[in-house]
Amino acid sequence: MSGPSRRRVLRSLAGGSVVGLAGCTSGREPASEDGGRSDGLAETGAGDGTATAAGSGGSPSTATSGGSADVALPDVGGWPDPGHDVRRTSHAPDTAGPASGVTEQWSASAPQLTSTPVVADGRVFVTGGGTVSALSAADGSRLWHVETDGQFVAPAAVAGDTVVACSGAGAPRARPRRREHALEIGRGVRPRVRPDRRDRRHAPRHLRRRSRRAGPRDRRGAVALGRGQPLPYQIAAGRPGRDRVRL
Amino acid sequence: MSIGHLALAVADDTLFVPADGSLVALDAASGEDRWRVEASSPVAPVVADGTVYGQAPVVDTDSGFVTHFVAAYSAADGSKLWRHAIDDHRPVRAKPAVADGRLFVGSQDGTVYALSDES
Repeated sequence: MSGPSRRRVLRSLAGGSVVGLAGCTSGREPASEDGGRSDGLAETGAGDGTATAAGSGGSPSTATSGGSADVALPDVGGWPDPGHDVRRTSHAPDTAGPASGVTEQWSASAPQLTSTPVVADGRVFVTGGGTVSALSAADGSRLWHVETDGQFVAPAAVAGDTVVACSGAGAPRARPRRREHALEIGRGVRPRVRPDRRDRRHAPRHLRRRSRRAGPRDRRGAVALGRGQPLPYQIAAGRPGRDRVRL
Repeated sequence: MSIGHLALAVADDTLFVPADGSLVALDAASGEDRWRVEASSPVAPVVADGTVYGQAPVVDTDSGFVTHFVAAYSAADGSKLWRHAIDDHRPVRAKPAVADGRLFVGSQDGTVYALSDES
């Protein structure tokens, strides 16, 4: 790469334009208006997961999830997107990781794990093998998991109280029929809050049709779906039309 | 230089790029190298609070056996802060995530690990 063009590319990347945009082609199934299971999801309940925790003493112990949606979880900050933010910077300026030395706090099984974990509201969301799982960030216990009707699930993303994952019925690179799954982060069920008409009207044209189906929008944010993986789409509170973030 | 999908990180005016056999920090304005550390295969870095995290496979030159570490480097000069071999020595599948002092990584055998400070 020549010098000037290389610099231009680097400036562009530093400016945050590292965003792959395209529509995650939605399926043609009708959206469920009442939060029922016509979305291809099968709730498998919570509390059936286990995690191995290594305490400060180093002796592993097995913890079983309480599985309650009301369980108090510490706020661990957030990494809501595989690339951390809408610009995919992979930079968390307001949090820190292990700096001086490191120890394994816990480990948890996530069968067929295929993607970067995302973290929000004290929960770690992982996807793989057609399953979306929520783990406690504190001890790794599985809070809930949902099996989709797809054979794979792309990395999840969180916006507001909703985690969205995109699943496909075929091989990821073979133009599979994809479906978006919007789930409440607390219980793994479809959110009751549906986008209001004003939000939808102010949404970019390529999101209007999808937002009706995925329904993850609220006053704090929405989710747009990129090619194979969702991207959070954030809107300033109360002013969805003028303050939207351009993806 | 080949760059993988979603494999670079951007923090302030520096790009962190996995290149062939190295993790490179580039000045975003000039494109010049700030530092470079050797890694036997590309890593997928993330950055938090002045620290770069990524996978750091190490190849035993005698046996050819690859041990996969999660490693932390100083974003300022690339000095290695720590490295940690996960139990099964399998490669990290994708980028880690950082939140509230913890690093969350997923390994190829389907295990999620939460790593935290020793203290």
